[in-house]
Amino acid sequence: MTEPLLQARDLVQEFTVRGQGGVRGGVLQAVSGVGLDVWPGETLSVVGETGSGKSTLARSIMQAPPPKSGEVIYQGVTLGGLRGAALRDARRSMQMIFQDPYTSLDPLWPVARIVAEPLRAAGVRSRAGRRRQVGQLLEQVGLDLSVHGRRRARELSGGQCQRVAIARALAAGPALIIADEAVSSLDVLVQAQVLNLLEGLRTELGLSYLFIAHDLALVKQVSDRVAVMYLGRLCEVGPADQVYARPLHPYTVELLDAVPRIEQRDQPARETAAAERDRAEAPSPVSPPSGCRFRTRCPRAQAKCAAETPLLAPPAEAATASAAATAHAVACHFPLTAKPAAEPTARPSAGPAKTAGLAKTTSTSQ
Amino acid sequence: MTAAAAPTAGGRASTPAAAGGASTPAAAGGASTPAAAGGATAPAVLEVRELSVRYRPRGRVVHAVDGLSYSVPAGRTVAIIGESGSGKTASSRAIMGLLPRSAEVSGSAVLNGTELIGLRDRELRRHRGRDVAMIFQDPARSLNPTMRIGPQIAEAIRAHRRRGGPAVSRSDARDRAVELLRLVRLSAPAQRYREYPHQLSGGMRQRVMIAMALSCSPKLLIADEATTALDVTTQAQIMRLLTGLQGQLGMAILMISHDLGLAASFADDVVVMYAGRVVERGPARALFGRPAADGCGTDTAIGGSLPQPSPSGASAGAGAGAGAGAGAGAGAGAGGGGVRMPYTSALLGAVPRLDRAAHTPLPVIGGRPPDLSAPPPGCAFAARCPRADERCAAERPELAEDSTEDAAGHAYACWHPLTASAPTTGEAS
Repeated sequence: MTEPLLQARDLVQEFTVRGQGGVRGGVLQAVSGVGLDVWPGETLSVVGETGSGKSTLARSIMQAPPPKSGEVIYQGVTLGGLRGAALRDARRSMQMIFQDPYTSLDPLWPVARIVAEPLRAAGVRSRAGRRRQVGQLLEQVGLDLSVHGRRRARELSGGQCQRVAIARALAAGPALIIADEAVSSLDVLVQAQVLNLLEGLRTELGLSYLFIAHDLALVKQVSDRVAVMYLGRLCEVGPADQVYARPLHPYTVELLDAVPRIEQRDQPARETAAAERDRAEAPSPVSPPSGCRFRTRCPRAQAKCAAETPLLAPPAEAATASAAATAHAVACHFPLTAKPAAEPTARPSAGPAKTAGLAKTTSTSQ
Repeated sequence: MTAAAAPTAGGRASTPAAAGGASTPAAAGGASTPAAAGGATAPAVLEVRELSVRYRPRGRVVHAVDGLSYSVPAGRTVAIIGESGSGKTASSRAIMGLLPRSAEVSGSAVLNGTELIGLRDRELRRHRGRDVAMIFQDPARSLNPTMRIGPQIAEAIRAHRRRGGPAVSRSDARDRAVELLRLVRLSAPAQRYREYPHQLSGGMRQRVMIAMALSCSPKLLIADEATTALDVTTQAQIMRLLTGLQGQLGMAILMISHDLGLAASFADDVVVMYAGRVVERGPARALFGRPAADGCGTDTAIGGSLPQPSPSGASAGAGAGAGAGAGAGAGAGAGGGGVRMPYTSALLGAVPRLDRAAHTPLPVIGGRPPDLSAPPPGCAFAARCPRADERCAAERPELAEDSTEDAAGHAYACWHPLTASAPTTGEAS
């Protein structure tokens, strides 16, 4: 554990967008200076909304396509300068699983061939050897070569397809798996099965995961650390238990608030407080807001937020705190205070801004 | 409306299966729900009885929906919950007359006193939009990409008025469309009027769809996985918008979803479907054990926003999570919930939750739903159920109301229901 498995430094990814039918053209900065580490055996989840750049970040790490600037160091090798076979060798042990299991598998190939292909690429020459390994891999993901081996993607359920995708990823003998919304489109029972499978494989094979998701609740189960992303920048990074229990960035609070909860109905007070935010449109990534990019939606925004870009750093009061607290960093001029909550799993009531809003609504209702 | 209610009362006496749904509005409505506070007993906007949908592909018979009964009271939200293939979407499309011709639909669906099943398409069209409107999962595909959004809404307004009531002039329709865009809280509605669907985000498109659905003030809005394709934050916004509009306009909402968590937080009544049949149904508060004291709106407003309810949910969840087996009890026990059918309990246990500890296995059940062309003779869930025995495999349990409980309207179809006192820790495996 002396060195991270994956280090990303100041990644920037841009796309040129053509102005078309009223949509503004220009340079879209999908990822603007994002840095993160994934340690061996660790699961890091990157969470954000559509358009936050989380998938682009994953692809930049994979060098598909390579980022405009910044550096990716995987297992001690800088991927930026590598081309062709050297790049393929370097990133073989970094595999991806995608959201839509049907479109990410070749519709014409039987399952056995899909899973055997990475083995062939890795140089497993004998047909019998490949078949044996395919059998083992399918067994690892809960499928049976004799039953499922000859089927095609359309003959499988969504969950089975995703298991095939996982088996294909495992075939290359990965150290890191990047799962881009890998369970988001599955039914809840199947989702739980696949999450358990991924979790089991992590302990069994010592894998590391980079999980990309839009739902904080979905990755709660699997995350060691969580990075929250908004409009191409990281808002908050920290140990999962701290981010969930004591979120520092207003955007993280918004994401946590959005999770439907079984034990409580959406209360009128919460509705009105949140209704204010509903009006704020997500800004265009072509012309992001100056300073903090979240400020147009932020209930705590002030003049400073428009003028200065907040840097990702541990909050001021954490400087004197333990080393564990300094691992929790936030990019916000006015972060929520990281005061310890009474209950370890209870979330604080979202700080001063939220409480002020609450006081207002309760007083009007009385 | 009285005509619709009378046969229901008769139906209740003859079929015990229908009893749960029919008594729901009377028992749990009125006092407890702010939306229904106006009337003492809300009359049902939609009354569905013994609805069945069958397909006959290549000589086989597929029972997509089998004897579905429920009612949607005015001003309330009913959620139909189920996995892919459980028949939830087929049942709602049968009501709207949107299924292909090959589908055999039987049973009854009475909307505002009119029987919809068996109506010709031309007659049905008179009700669609005006009495009942539907929003779908993919707003991008529901909108015309070559037409500005405003005129699409205006067109809907004019088309529906032409079939009844006075004609609407173009400029009036335009004004109404802008007003609707404002109602669904789209910023700068007059400018948005002239934009194309591709210029809008997914959430904004869904708002446009809602505006269009509301254009003729329907009594019932069917939302078929309307927020599934959206981000969690956008989903929360759209759900808040819908509940807000419901209060404003007094419409009923039939929510079709696979997400039990969403249903638990936004629906008044929940119907859980499995393999084409209802396996459990009841008021959300009875199923998910809301805090006992949420008698009135203000009470929940204050109590809910303070950290008070979170610890109760969190400690229950954490306690179950810390136990070795974790189990479906993590879900069922979360709020002292009253879920009785093991399938609902399994669904509940698998809902992603913020209060679960990291790296603890989620309670799962193996297997898949049965082949609907050859449904098992007994309980459809028996093959996957940890509590199943010979009787479950041989004999089908009917949906019956729980007489021991004080939660009226809570019905389930199970031979070996979970008991409220005994937690379901044995579920995991």
